[in-house]
Amino acid sequence: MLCALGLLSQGRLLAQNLPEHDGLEHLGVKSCSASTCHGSITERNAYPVLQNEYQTWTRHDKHSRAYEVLLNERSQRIARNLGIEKAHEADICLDCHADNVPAAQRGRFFNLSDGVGCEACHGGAEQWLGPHISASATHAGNIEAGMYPTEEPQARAKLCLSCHLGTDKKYATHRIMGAGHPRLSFELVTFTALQPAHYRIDADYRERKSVAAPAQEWLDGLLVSGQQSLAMIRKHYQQGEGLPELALFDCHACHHSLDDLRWQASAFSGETEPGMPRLEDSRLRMIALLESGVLGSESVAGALRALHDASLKGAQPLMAATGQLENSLAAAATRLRERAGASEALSRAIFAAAAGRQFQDYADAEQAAMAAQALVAGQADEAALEAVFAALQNADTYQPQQAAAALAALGGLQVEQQGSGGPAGDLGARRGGGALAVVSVTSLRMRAGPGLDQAVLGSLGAGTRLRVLENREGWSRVETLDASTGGWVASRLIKPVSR
Amino acid sequence: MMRLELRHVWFPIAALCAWPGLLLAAEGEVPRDIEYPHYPPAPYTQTAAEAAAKSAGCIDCHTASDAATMHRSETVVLGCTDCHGGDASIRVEHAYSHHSPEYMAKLDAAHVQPRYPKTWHYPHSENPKHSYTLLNKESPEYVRFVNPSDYRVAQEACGACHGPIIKAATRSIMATGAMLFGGAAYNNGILPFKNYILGEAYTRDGEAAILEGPVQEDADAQTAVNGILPKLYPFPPWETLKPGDIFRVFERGGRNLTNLFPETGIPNSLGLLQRIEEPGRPDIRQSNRGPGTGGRISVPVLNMHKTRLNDPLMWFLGTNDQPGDFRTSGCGACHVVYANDRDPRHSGQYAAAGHRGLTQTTDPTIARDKSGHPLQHVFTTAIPTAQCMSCHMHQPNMFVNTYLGYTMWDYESDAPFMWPEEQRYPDHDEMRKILDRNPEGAVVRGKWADLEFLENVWDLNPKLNDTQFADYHGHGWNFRAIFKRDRKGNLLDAAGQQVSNDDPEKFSKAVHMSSVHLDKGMHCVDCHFAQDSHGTGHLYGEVALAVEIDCKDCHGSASSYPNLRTSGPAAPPAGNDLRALRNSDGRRRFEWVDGKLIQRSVLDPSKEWEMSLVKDSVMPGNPDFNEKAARAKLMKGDPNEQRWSVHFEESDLAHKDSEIECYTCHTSWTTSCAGCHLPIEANWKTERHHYEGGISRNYATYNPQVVRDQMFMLGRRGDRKGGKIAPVRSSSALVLSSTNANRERIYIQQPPVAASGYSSQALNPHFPHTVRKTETKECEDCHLSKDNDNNAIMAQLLLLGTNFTNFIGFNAWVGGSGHVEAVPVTEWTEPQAVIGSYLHRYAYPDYYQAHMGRDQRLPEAFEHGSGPVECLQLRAEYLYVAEGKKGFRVYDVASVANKGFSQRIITAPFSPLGHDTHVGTKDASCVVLPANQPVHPARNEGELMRDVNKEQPFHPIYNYALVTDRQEGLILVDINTLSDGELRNNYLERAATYNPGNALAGARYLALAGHIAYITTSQGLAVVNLDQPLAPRLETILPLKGAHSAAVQFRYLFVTDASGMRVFDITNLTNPAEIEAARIPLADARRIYLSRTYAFVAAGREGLVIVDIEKPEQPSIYEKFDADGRLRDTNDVVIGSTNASLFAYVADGASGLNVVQLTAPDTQPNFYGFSPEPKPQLVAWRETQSPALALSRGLERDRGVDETGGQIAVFGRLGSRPLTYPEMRRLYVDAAGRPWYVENLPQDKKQVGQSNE
Repeated sequence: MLCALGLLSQGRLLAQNLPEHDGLEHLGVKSCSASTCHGSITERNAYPVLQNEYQTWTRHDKHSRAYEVLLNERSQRIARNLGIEKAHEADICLDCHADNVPAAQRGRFFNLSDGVGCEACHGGAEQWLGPHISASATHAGNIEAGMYPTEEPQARAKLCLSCHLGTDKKYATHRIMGAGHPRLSFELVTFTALQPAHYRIDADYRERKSVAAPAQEWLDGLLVSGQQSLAMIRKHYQQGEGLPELALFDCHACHHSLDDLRWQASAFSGETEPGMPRLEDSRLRMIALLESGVLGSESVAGALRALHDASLKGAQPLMAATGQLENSLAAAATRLRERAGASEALSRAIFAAAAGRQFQDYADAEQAAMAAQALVAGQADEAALEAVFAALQNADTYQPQQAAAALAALGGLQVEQQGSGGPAGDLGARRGGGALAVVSVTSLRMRAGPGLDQAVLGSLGAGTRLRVLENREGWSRVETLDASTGGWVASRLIKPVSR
Repeated sequence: MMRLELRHVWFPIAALCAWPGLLLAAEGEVPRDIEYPHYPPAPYTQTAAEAAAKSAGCIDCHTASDAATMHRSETVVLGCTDCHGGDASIRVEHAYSHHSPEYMAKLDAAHVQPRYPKTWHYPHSENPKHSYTLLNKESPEYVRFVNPSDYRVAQEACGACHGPIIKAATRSIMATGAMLFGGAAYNNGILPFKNYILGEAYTRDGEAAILEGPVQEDADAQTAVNGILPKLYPFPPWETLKPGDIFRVFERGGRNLTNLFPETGIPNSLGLLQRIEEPGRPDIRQSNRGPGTGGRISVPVLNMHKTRLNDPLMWFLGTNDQPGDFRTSGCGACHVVYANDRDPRHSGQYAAAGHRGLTQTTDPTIARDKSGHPLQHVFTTAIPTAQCMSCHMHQPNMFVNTYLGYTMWDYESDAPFMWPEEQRYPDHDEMRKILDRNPEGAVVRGKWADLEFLENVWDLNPKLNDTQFADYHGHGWNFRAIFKRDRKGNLLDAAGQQVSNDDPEKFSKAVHMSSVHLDKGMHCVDCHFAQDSHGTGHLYGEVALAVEIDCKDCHGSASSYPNLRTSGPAAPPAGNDLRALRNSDGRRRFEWVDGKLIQRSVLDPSKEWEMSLVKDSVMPGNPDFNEKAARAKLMKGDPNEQRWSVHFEESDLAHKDSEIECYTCHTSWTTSCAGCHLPIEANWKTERHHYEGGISRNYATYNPQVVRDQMFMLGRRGDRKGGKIAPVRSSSALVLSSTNANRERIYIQQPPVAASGYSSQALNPHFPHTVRKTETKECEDCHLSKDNDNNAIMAQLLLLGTNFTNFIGFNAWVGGSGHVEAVPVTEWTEPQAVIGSYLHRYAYPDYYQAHMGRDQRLPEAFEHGSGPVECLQLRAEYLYVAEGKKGFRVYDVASVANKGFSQRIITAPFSPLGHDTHVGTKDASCVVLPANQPVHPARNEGELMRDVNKEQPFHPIYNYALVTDRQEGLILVDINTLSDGELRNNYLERAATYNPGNALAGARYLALAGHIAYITTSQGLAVVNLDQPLAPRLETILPLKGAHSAAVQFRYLFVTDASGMRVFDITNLTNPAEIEAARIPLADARRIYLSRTYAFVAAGREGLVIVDIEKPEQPSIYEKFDADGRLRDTNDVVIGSTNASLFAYVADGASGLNVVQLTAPDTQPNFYGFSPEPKPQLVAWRETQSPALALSRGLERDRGVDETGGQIAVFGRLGSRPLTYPEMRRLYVDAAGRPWYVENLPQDKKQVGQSNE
């Protein structure tokens, strides 16, 4: 059965060409968007599909604006910084911001400006456009004719990650990031929902296509992500005089205020020391956590530690370490998949890890939050879930303890006390948290509590730099950077300082 | 399955059908009885092989096609018979002679057979001409064969994929025509429902259908809030509808015209029973048979059924006879392009295909030389404006000519090119043939009666002097171009500089006032997308309610950029997303690129333009900043400050988006069809164009009278459309005539009364589609100008009327010292040219020569003895007369043009015991009717009018005639019984007499400003407030010596007295203040008549004095005109328009009635101006029985409301209305009542500067 997608079938799936390399003619969005096909303004129920897929995409899905983004000022600045004349004409940008197939594959209605259009994901329609509307058409037949199997989690993950993480052929390098490109992030279930989905899994969908349980889907996404991460590391980790590709490392390991001393030891970080960049391992770490939390074994964790250690030693050892990790991953994945039906066990492991302060880094917490969402969707306390994402709203003002508390709370747990054997975070807890801000008025009164009725403790001069510890109804609790004084001030009279 | 044996059926019938003359909609052809096989609907999906089998035999002959499935998309898999039906298994294996019986047999067997082969000219494929209801009579199988997209069968051919859209389209206003049926029925007093109930639709079998909207729950609320109608009913046949009119001839009783109406079935072969004339009955009334007999019909209803007004609409084929009329029915009416217009601005890439409806198909079987074929066998969304114009060429049908910069031609401009040198005397057969194509009565005498001439009118343009014509001729009409002109009518170029009338290049130098959207290259479909064309699926009665697009959807507002979501009345709650639209090349139709909003053309996707963004235009520093735009949009609503700034709150602005439509200012001109004559002729047998068809008696031509393009008027839209201030047009106000079977004119030129009791001289807010960037409305178009030179403009703006387009009609009504007299001054046939006029010279050269041979004397007059008549007024079929010691009398003049009458003006239609319209007064000097348009206030009462139709109540003054009496002062007489259709209650009595302390002694004349009366008396000028008409209040008396007459124009009152003409400021209506510097000394000033920027003074021995009053406070004599000495005792003058020309009718004690042409294309090339300079020339005259003293004013066709806000004329569309008195005042006085002034170009810039930042 097609739907029984174990890792056994992974080989076949990953071997399937991504739409960008399918060699088929991409006919263009217009060939799908007729109002009687997929361009209906409202959902219809005459056929298995909603028929308003185009409208959902063009109105709500940012993929439809991916090309347009290249025209904005930020993109132009990035292009300038990279020495590219026009972002919207450069393959390096278009490869992800459009359906950048070779000219020969561009059909009658094809427009690069459509961004990530229908066929960028569903594959060139050259061979299936006509047949796919016939009564005798089957999904398998369509796939056979070149349609990309987006309903299969691993295939979809591979497709999405080709841009949202990168491939050996296209990758948002540290140079691109340095030029101004925003940080990338991905989790299959969350991003599928956020897109937003332009299909509904209902009876006729199930009839035609395989449907993975969310936990399964999440796990598949995670595994493919992990594998892809490793593949990226293998491909891009340089040896020699130059620096390794820095985008492979955890952004926030380096990118934070000098006042915000975040480093801490972790179970997976091996011999990496304070001040050293460390490979971005959030997905791998998540698998390691699951392995230990659910399966009770540590082979991925061990291999991950070895990878980090190897990252200090050079390319050769690193390559060896990635190979080992890949094997561990495969083994863990097979076992985890067996447990995927019991999504509770998976989520429990995540919440426990959160309570144990294992998601200190922003990227880790972000993965954990998205995982939690995917696993508890529909059953979770909405407010608690909101709180998790609120804690992750801004990577720059991210406070690990807040995120950890919110995540733990979502699982009905409490964060373990400091110093109880968990990774030490004293310094971070005391000094690390808090956005930086500056007094924007000539003189700012500092009060004992949030409210005009509170006693005035003193005043701060214009330009005084502050750390914001807490916000409450228009008031912020602040302290000076040397922590010499503190109190409550009106939030609107201070301005955030970006780091 | 039955297979038709064709040779047995077809040939004998063909012989039977040798019918002489025209075959219209299967009239005369006996239908064949054919049993059809079942042709299954086209499937949603099938294999290519299955589809190929359904085309196999077809493509044996139709070897090539432009798009085999009509769709350019490869995903559509269809065979020929899926859509057309027929038998694709019939193969033509080898070449036959196309005339051989074998070939014909195969052709017949393969093709679906018509029931009416002759009418369809089977087997030829071009659309038949004037087919109309043929589609209702033909079998649905054959209709599907000819046009699978016809709405009767479209569900079968197209429904598998397009089902919901077909449903919506058949309910859309383009198919139902509900706005015309409903509007015409309401405005002309036929049905009292402003939520319309009539709409056209048919079943598959061509039967009249009731349409139900998809939502029936809470229907009243849906209607009240969204204008969504629950149900539309078929339009009843005209024969069975009772006349809505209150004309005398429709009153009960009277003699029967028995010889014409044989009483079949009544045991009285000679009809003697009906011929008994009972004493005391009116002389001539209707047959005692029902509606539809003896002219007992409603002319507008007859018109809607039989005259080419808007029809054919979507349910029928185009008439396929002349450029602009080639198209099919149903979906293909829009989506299949025909060659209609050679102008690329109208036709885009199709212009090269010509305008004769010829095809360019690759199908070898389609005749290339026969009109009525589509260009290609292919659907398109690239629909050119020219296609839309095949329906939208007429005012009640969204007059889209304006978008193209054209309006209806008036028969006068460039007359020498358009009328034959030899007068035409077409016989009835010839006339019938021409009128089937073009319903204008005038056409039969014009050169454009000839199709070939019509097709080439566009080519005349280089030679023309007065105007330029369009290349489309829907309905056979001609359309003239509008050029930028100043108020005097001088042509202007883009920079506002005058272009000389002698300049041979003048029409390329002057600005052609097409919409800026057209100039950009836009077609209708570039604004009105799928939903506007297909409808929402709901039923609507008003066009604007069914529109989803709004200006701001693409242009944004002063405060925000456009969000590209539709927001018009028919838009879904969050709007449709225009960014989702894609053109035929697959690209987005709208796209933001680099902060610029780009739109790409639907017709030519390679053509794109940048959208003007309102926010940019008002933002100082922006490259697109436009100070005038910013000033207008950001002006604070404080007239004394007149400051503007981007920092003001929207709620403080003068021109709030919530209060005023964008196009109120962004309109370069509006069309106003001030009057249309529908003269019914009982003897004319014609075909019904709708429903069951059929030929019957009675026909009315359709005759636009005065079409002006420089009238700018304001009113309010109904709440359902936002209740904003919008431009108002005069919308096809009718006057009706009827010639019965004896060729007796039983009523002439009668305006109906609307269902709401208001006059049917209908007005309605509309979007004129004439948006331009430079030629917009400016400050001085709606507010007092600093030079104070726009008093007439303001009068026009507020719908107070300007006495310029007034309709004098067939007769001039003259009061003499001992008679009232009707003098026919025009031809009766169309065009109703004023005898002796410019138009007369060209349209009727023989008659004109005869007239000149009579030394310009008018040949006829009809009179009745009377007292001395210094005042008389015609309204409806009554003449209201003040005749001195004989008091006040209302004459019955219904039969004034009836040759069956010897005494055509009578005091009563029968015994005075049953009718007495005389009111004795001591010395009646004048009578004034608050409205000289027929109104009937009693119709405008009750819940239906007030709550459902949202009509404003009448002011009570409209119940009365106001009579001045030298001894008794002011007398009010209730005259409503004369307009209630009841013949037994016509006894007039005085309702009130008012002469407090004899203050009104010597009352001589009265002028009204709403309910304020200005009465000239022995003492001077008395101001009487008639807000409560039966309890008048004397406001003030201004002493004047020898006060004679008075006339009101907006803020000024003009009075003649012994010293000449005086001007009073009546900004405060009850307290006139004389402008002493404005006196014009005249020795013998008598009556005065104001027409736009001129005052016409009947100046006794000085003749006619024309005073320029453009600046009312600085009047000057423009000309004294005495017609070579004929005018030497000039008592009265009235002004009226006929076609494009302005006329003065002068009553002279010495020489009688004199008709003076004031402007004509040859004397005043600027005749299209708002107020061209008069060039008076006498064109006709007639002595009167006794010295002529007075004239009846013409029907005031542009007066919708009075000076105190009392509504007079019906407003089309629910909830719309003229401005109220306080709303009017807000445009020109401040809170304290002080006038304030504006300038188009400010001397000092009053922008609030940086200080506010």
